Amino acid sequence: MSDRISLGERLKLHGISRRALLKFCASTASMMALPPAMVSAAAANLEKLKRPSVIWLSFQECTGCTESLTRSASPSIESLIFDTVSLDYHHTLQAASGTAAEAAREAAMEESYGEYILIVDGSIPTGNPGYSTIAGIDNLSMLKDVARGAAAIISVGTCAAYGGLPMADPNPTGAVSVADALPDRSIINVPGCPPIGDVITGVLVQILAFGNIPELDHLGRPMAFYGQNIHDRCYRRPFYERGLFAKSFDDEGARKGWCLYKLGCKGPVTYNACAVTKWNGGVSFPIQAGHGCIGCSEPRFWDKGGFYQPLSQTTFSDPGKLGIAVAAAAAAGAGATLMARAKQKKVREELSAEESS
Amino acid sequence: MTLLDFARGPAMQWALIIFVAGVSFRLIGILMFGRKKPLSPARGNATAAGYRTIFSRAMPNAVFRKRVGGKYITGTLWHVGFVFVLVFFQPHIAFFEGLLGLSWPGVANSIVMPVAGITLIFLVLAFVRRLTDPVLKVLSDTGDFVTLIITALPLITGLLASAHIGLRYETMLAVHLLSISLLLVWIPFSKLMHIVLVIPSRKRLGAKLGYKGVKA
Repeated sequence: MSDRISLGERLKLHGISRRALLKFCASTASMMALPPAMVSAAAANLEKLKRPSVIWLSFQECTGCTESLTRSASPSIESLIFDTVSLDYHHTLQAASGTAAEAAREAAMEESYGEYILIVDGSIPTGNPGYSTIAGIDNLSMLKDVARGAAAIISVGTCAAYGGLPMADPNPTGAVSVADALPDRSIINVPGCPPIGDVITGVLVQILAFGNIPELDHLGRPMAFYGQNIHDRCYRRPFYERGLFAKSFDDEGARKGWCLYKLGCKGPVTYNACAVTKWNGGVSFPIQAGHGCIGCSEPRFWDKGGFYQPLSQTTFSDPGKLGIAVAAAAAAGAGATLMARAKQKKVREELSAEESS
Repeated sequence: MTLLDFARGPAMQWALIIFVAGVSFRLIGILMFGRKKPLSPARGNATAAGYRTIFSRAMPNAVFRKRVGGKYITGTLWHVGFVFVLVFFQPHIAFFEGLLGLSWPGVANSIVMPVAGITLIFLVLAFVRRLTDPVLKVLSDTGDFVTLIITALPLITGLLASAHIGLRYETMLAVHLLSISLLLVWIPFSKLMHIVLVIPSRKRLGAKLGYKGVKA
């Protein structure tokens, strides 16, 4: 539950200096491309912050987003921030279970009504309420109930942000995104399958530190992390410009780090911080590991043709249709020509008949 | 479905179907229509004259060289530039590979992009000449200008997409693919059909004139 002790006081209790908090704020501000002047303001706001309540709802999901979050949280100061943020309800991370867990959620909602932050991962099934339930409550009802008292709502992961894998064709559960389930609320989308852990915490910190919703793009994503496409920031980009491409995952080009465009990399049309922030504390990201971007932070990435099909290729993959078109047109052309020739012959015969008479 | 999904999928699919169907329809019609056999004896080697004309028509006639030489050079450079960009830009090779299963070496963007820019300039020159030349003005109809614009669009949108100018990359790429679809649909029903017919029609004309002993 949220309590009366501020983050600054809690940091002191844990032996964390203000310098460490400033360093954290500086690195977070740098990730979000905020001006340096904002660092001290963010630190001051965070220090004063009372433990805000966070309710994390998991619906049709795989827990990958939580996995990503925990990778970010340890062992940096972010873990402290999350100790300090009162994570009152989270299936995977909370100690309580069953009735006690639901009681914790209801208590947090009642105590911090209108102030708590709601984080959602997973899509919401609408085909049948029974497809996914928690404590006997269907996902849509729980989402609407909890969203009512939330100060801010964050959709973490592509499933919550856009429907994700559960919504992939043919969408058997009638899955929808949080934004579609709550059309009257503004939602902050933090997509990715999963999103980068540092991005999840970065967005949360920005909301906590400045008390406002960050600048969002047309898909509801924070511009600070989703403002540029991966291709523009990719270290393999010079090879694209030089026309040097890996043709398979184990060829000479792949070993030399050439561009993965021809192996289906979706970096040019994917907006995310992977090439800049990277994963696991800045160690690497999928393209650096040798696999093309699959565009997981974009809506319906699962239904955009093959992951290994280059962007410039058509997703039309039925040469048989072209063959049928050629055959039908050739037959029509032949028919039209035969008719024209017959008409020509008839006219010629009529003319010669006129001449002879 | 996003604009890019539409451009890569249904739009390109229908454009390709209309293109192959339209070209097939016209080609079969032309080939089957046939010609009357000449009644007079041959005064020259028709076959040799036919093949010679395929190449000779690419050069201006000596008599008119001074007057039309510049136009030939502009036209040739435009065509060579267009084919170069179409064939040697790496994403284009990937496109053809997906369609035909064939691949070949490409060149660096630092070569393709300037070539594309220069090629576009030649096309703009051709457009301006068609607008200003009094004879061409009389000969040109709306279809000619529409054809010029439709031909220029893939070059313009391709350059903008590559340079990340204007719309977001995925939107510009979609517009580029849609402009190609439009070009494919337009080819069979316009003078752009010369892409397919230029060689057989030159050969036919050369053979016909060569049979009569006329230097084509």
